[in-house]
Amino acid sequence: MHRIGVVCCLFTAVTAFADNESPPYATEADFLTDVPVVLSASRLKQPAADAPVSITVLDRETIRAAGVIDVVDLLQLVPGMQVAHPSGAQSVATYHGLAEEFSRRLQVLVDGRSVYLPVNSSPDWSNIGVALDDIERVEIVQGSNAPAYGSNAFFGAINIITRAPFLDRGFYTRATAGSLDLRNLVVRGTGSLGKLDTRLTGQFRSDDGFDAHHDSKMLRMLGLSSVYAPDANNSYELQLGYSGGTFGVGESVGVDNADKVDPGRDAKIEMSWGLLRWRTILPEDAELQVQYYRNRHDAQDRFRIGPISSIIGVPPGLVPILLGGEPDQYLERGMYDGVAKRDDAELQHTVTLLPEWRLVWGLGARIERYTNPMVYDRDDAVIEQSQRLFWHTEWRGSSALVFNAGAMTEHNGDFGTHTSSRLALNYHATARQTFRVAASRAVRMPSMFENSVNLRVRFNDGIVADEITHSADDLEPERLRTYELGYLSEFPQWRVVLDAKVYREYLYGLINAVTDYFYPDPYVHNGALVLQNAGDVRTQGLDLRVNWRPQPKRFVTFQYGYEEVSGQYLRTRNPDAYEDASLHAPRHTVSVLGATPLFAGVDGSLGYYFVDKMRWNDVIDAQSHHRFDARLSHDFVAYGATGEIALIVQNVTDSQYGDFRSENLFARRTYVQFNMQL
Amino acid sequence: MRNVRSTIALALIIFFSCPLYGALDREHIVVLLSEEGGAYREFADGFVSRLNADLADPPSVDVVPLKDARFDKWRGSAAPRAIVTVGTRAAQETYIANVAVPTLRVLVARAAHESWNRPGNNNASAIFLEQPWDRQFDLIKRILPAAHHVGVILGPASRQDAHEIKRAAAQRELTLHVREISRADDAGSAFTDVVADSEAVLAIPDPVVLSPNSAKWLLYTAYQRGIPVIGFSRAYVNAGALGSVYTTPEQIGFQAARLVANAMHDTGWTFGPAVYPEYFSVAINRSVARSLRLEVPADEDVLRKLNAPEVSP
Repeated sequence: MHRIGVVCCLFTAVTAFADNESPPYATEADFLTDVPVVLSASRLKQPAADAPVSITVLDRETIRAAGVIDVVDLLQLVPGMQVAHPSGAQSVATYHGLAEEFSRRLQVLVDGRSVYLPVNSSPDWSNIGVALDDIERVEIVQGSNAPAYGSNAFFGAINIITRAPFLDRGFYTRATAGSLDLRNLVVRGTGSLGKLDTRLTGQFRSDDGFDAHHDSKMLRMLGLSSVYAPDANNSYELQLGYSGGTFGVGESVGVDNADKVDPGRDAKIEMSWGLLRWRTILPEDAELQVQYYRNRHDAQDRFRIGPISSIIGVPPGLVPILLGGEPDQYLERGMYDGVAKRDDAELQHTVTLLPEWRLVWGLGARIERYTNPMVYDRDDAVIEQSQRLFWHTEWRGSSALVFNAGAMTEHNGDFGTHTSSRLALNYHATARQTFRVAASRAVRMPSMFENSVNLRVRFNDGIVADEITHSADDLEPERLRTYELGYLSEFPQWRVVLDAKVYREYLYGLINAVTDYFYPDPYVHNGALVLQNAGDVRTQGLDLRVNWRPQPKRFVTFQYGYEEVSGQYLRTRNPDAYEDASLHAPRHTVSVLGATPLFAGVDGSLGYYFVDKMRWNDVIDAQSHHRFDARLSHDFVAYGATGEIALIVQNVTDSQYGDFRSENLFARRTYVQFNMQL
Repeated sequence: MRNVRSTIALALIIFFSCPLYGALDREHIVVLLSEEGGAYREFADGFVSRLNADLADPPSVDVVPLKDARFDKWRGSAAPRAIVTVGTRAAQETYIANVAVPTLRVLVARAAHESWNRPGNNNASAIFLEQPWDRQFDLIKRILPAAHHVGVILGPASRQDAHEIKRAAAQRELTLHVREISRADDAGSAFTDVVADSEAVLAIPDPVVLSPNSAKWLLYTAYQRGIPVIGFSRAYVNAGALGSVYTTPEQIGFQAARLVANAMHDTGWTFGPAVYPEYFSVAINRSVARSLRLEVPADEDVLRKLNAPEVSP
């Protein structure tokens, strides 16, 4: 933290230096010179009524009122979304259920940079590299967005958008402490040097996790974000960051003898990233954007288990007899141990072809390299290259009709070329009422883990002792077809917006880790997990959001998701057993958040969350639960600084429930938060 | 050498031409441009054409760029009957030179004009760059009838207008959310605060608050929250503001021509008190309106409702 402080001081100096004297009055230049075109016609967002999908936007007021400690918990405020915590150091979020410890089917972008990890086939929500304080808003596309964001956005996409550095100045700090021995300190310095605006954010965070597990975590993060706009038409963006620490891992769900073969331990996990983006306004109301980013994920998780005799519970002398002469020994393990690198470049061109016809199209390429000798059973890196071509067009047929069409074609070395596409028609029945009919088909390429895993335990002499997890040879991409009927209604006189959709989703070739009891296993004849296309699932239901917002800081937002899932997928082979997919999604998901200023300088908010019972992992059921969260805050101004002190209570009624699994008792949690802007 | 020669030539022309006008007994005025070309020239063209169209005996007009101005020559019998300064620098230089000639300042901000009035010197009048506050709030009422909370950010140059702004808003039953800043560094957080409290933001010209760079972020922040910005120039509308009421340099030229004609015939070359622009235009960004789901009347309807005077061709 000391280093962060020094850098922040540097920013004050820069800011002070750059604070030029302005003339004491406006001049004709203020009235007559051009202002950079921020909202060219081709760059404008589609209003919700014209969009081909439902989108939930969580703004700063909502984020503040929700009283969450971690970014992932905001997603409880999205209709049909579920959030859980397999351990204190791991979080999972999914849309319409169907997820395990890792949600493989949601794309997460931070300022346009994908943080989806090939290592886990999911984002690492505990180490996402963004301080909550830096987030301007989170936009969640509800439903498949593969036609826009590619295969990982199979069920949806989450865009985390941070604040432009220009919008903050000076120093900001926030400290949070409370339950689970949470210590969270954020320090931020923002300044400008001419036309360069820069923000530097440092964070330290630690907590003890759930009582039942070895799942404490300690994290240090340092992120830099710079925007340089030399003229009205060009802007350059640079982001650099590091986020790393120790995370309690192990004791995986569903692993027999977990305390011996997957003991609780600390893994050291470090993420670093860099992003460069250039945006330029072209003539004829067009815009070009070129970006490149690199992510690096470096994990150290080497440990030893054993000796074998203690794992299998036999006297040491019996081990050589049982295992073909292998002496009793300790075994090297390291599930997370490895280095993953991603390079991704993308070009995007936005153009208004006719006043009523806009098009955005682009090209991208990606290289993933992942070295993990334990998971892939090879010392060199697994390399995966992919290219993509995407386009989306909006055509306003008349004042009442909007057509949206889009597609992404992805080429992957192992799985060939596949296209995800979408078609939507929005009909404005009145100025404030819109009906939407949309259909999409999406393809999810198996992740690197799903495609290449070759996890086995070897004796110290290299002979395979046990087969653990493998990819099926005939693994195919998952496919999803979605049909939806949406209805959006605005009641401006009451400041109410209602957004609803009924949908039907057909998921074909769901990839599951199937236990094959006949998998050739040299010594430990317990078979192995095989990642394979295991079945088809149909989901239908309703997503509803009603938002009443008479004032920016006074609002009530209500979210409801109703889901019916049918279908089954293979759970074990030899003998074959199927998993009932309907168990893997909650029938009802509800969230309500209300916020209001109470009296001078005091704001209050109350949240309610309900998730019906659902099965996350094949072996455990999470019971339905209710939860109330409350937040009370008081603003203050002192010595030229503004600040806020807040009390956050999660699960106010202390309705202890099992979060993800029954041992993860989510009891009442209380936090005190203090922030100050200088 | 060429510069020297042309300067000498120009000086000679000015030197010889001034007595010539005097000898012909034709009224002679100078239009002093802060710079050649652009908006300054646009003003001068509008001004001269309107003067020639309106008056049977138009004064002769010398259009002089500031770099060629010879304030020391504009004294005594060689002095023009009036000077029209175009832009801030021309007004400032004329003020510093203390030229004792009736002066009409155009393309100057109100604060600038007021800072250059010597006590007892009623020689200088002005047509301000700014629109009157009533007109701007009328625009808000016309194009955003559902908005009741309007945000403004004031800086050192605009702070003095706070009272007037509040009055104009209160008259239209609008609740004003004002944030005052004194350093450009505070602009970003002020934008965030004001946008969070308001249903519309009125951009107010103040160099500490709004530079082209910071304007970009105001537009961006407001748009992301679905809050429309009302700008004060055409450029703001092009950049993404919902609408602006503004006056073109040519329109100011028309008004200046009328003031000069009045001064010449009716008031003995006095211009009276400084005024706001009389003629104005309205611009609405239809794409932004559509994106924000706002139904905004046609430009002509808005203009008519704001009682814009007709400009005869």
